[in-house]
Amino acid sequence: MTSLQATPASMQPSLTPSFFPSLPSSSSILSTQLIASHPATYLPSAPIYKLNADVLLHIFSFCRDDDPLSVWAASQTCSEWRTLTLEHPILWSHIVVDNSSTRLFGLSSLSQWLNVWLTRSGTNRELDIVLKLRIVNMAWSRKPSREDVGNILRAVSTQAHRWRSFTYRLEASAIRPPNTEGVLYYAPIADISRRLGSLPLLQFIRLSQGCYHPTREGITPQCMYDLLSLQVAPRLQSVSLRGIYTNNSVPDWNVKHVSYRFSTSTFLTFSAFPLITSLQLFSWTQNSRGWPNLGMQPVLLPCLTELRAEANVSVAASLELVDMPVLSKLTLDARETTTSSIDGNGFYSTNLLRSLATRPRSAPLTSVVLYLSTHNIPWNELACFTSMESLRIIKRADDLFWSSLSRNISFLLRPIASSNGRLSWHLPQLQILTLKSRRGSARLLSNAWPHYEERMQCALQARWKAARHSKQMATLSLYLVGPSRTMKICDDSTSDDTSAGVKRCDMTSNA
Amino acid sequence: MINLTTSDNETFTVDKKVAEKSVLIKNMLEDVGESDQAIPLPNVTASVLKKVLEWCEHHKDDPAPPENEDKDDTRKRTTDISEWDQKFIAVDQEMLFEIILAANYLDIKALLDVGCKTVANMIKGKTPEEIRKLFNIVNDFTPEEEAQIKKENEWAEDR
Repeated sequence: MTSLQATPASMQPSLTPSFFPSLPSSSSILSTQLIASHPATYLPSAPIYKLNADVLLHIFSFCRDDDPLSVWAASQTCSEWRTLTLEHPILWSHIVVDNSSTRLFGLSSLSQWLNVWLTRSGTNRELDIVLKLRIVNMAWSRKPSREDVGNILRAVSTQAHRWRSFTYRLEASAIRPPNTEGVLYYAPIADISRRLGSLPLLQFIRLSQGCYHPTREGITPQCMYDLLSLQVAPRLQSVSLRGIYTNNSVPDWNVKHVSYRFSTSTFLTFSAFPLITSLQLFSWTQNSRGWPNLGMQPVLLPCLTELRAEANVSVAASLELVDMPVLSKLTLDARETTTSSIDGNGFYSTNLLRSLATRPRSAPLTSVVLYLSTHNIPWNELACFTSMESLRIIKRADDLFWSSLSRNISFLLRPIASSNGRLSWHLPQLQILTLKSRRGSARLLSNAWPHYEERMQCALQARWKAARHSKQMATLSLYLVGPSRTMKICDDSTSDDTSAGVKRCDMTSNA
Repeated sequence: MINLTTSDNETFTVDKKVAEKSVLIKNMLEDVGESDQAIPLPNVTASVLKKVLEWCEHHKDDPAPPENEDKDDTRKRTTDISEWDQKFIAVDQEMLFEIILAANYLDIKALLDVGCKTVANMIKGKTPEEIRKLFNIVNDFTPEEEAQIKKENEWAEDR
């Protein structure tokens, strides 16, 4: 009989040279020397010493991704951790310069530690570069200056050929104003531009600035966009721009995904990225008008299948002349919009849904996601998308919506009389309706939850019965996703016996 | 149902679907086919296997993770541990590391991630001295390493 003995390779105790199989032999020799030279203090009895090198590397990779500074701390904790971290350049491939790191390492040493960081990252490893400077409550003198920022960008641009992603976010007033008004500052633009000449690995660009930054503030995200847009980046697939004007230059990038938080130049952005497959569009401020359409020719986005847009007037206006013939998935996000009786440009609006529904070449939407705060579900607009197969609605857990669930989705639960006298149903192809609660007090939801199962089963019976008798109609399943549990209510019947057709699955995890 | 025998000679009878959350066990079952013989797990104790199986039972219906997740733009986040997993992994350090090692040995990637994210969260934001204190790690740097680290830290202004 075949033996079922499992191999215990990864369960070996740690901290002897043989337990670092991925390290070169030199490190093993080093480890032996260290142990030999510290016999009195080296007592690996604590539970953490059981972890082998592979597991530690896995832990440190999470540190690198979420808080790269903790890799620095790990490298200064003990000899084994130092050896392990320094011998794995991949742990140093996420280089983050933000308020925390400038505070930790000090402004005067920025270049020194950045060079050490880059050196530790090896010579051919892909790099994720992040420069995020936010407004924080600190003295002006402790904020980085435009010269500091220029030095940081100059340092990281020496490795531009290794960039996998480049993120640069600069909030207004995040850097120290120049000491003397009128003193000329020669930003190292030419230097950086020369180093950006080759971007063979770059896949993601994220640029964001808080407001208009005058040139005297040095190399801003806008400035970096202007430099990057002149470069060839053959692997670039995603660009996220916030508060960036794209008027100055149209890059020759074949990107697939664009996220844009705009002020005025939206329309030109569409023209710059005609082959995108997904687009996220948010307006810059509540007051942004986004009137890009005057005198403009319609823009065709022939490959766009996925659109995520803020549910307000200015975003809808920006998309008015944009043709999206293959759009299949729409996410409308009203979390940041203001509810008001005055239909201002920044206020909540379903104009985009109306616009998409009434176009000559109506978008064949099959999936719609709605993030709503206190707004009602725009059923009348949704009903126009007869090919819709999936509808996901996310509401706050403390919204009154949950206390009258049956009434709030009754649009789908009652038949309507069609022109030929027969009964029909809204959204006949709808297969999945997901109602999900998000943050907010879950008290209302918790009180109502026990009643949902029975009520929803009853409410869905008529629609399920109709689906059993019509090939033109899909069977609807309802997912209720609460703060700590998920309930699926679906018709499991394969016969005409309506009394036996209900299947309810209770899942405790929040899927 | 299949039987699993731990290092301390305790046998657990578990649903095949639950046990197959472990890639190691799944592969073994595929290799040897149906068998009444218990699968020995000589590196997992009963108390640890009980916890691991509790996790597997809870997650038995989870969809398989996408194969190309590492190619994604976003880096791994340590904060995305579900509420249930957070409660599950709220154990003492000894059990935490035993669960991690068992998940590594049994090849249960999602559980390994939960454990490693938890440890990464414990490290996050701490100084080397705080990390040493938290995990009872001995400062065993050589004088050369100490000098190197001191030099690194001299750059910092505000620590």
